[in-house]
Amino acid sequence: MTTKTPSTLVFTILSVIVGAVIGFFGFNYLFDTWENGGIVSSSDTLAVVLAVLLAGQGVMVFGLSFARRSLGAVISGEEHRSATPAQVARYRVQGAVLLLAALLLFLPVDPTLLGLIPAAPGETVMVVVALLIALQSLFNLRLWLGSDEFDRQMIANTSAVSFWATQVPIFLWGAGERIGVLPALGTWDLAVAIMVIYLMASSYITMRHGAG
Amino acid sequence: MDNRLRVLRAERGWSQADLGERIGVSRQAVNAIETGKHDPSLLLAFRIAQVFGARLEDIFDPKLNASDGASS
Repeated sequence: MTTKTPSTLVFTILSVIVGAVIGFFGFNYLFDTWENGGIVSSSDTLAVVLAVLLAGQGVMVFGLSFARRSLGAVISGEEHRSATPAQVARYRVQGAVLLLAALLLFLPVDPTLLGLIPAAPGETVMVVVALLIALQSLFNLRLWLGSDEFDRQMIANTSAVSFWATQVPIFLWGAGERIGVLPALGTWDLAVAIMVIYLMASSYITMRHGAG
Repeated sequence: MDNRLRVLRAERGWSQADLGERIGVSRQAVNAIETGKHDPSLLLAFRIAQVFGARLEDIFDPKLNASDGASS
């Protein structure tokens, strides 16, 4: 059970503010594209929504890692306890993983990142995506190696639930596609769907274990 | 699996974070063990027993004789 300390309250308020700002830009992008007659597939829409959520979380977690006292309070539920250097490092990596996940979901949809960077050839964007996912995998590995048995159990449970929750619908859809009663899905559609299922499974497992 | 972790911890005036530090896991892990949402590994169970200076069976009750027990 999480104890509400002044620091966790400030963290909650800041989360709402950061989420609102990032959400504003993310959804503005979608609405602008729609208004300008651009085609935004349901997968792209879902990818942008997910990217917005992950970016908001990432900014908060990464930012929190620079406030040791507040981080310690959020982790321990005790106002006086500062975060240890290991906890700071872990949250910094966790924040980076979330931000990279947001970037990985957004980059294929809009490789100019809302016009912040110049347009580049598809091959260049692909190389960047590959490098980013390699970096994210390294960070994920580091998180796994630094996890205690409880965290690892939750990651393993999430993986198991995701596998079953993904395999059955994909098989059914594939069968429907082969029979000719369902439209064909692209790999991007599947990638986004798997990400959604994974995040839902992760939230469910985290809540179920009381680790939120 | 039932356990007396919360009682033993309270007797010593330790918070969940205090106990977590002593046994090398997070506060969330301690909370999950106390509430029966996570069964600790054998290694962690021994570490917990060591920290409290008690035997495993004084802390954990696997309910071997209950209807859902593993024994035949």
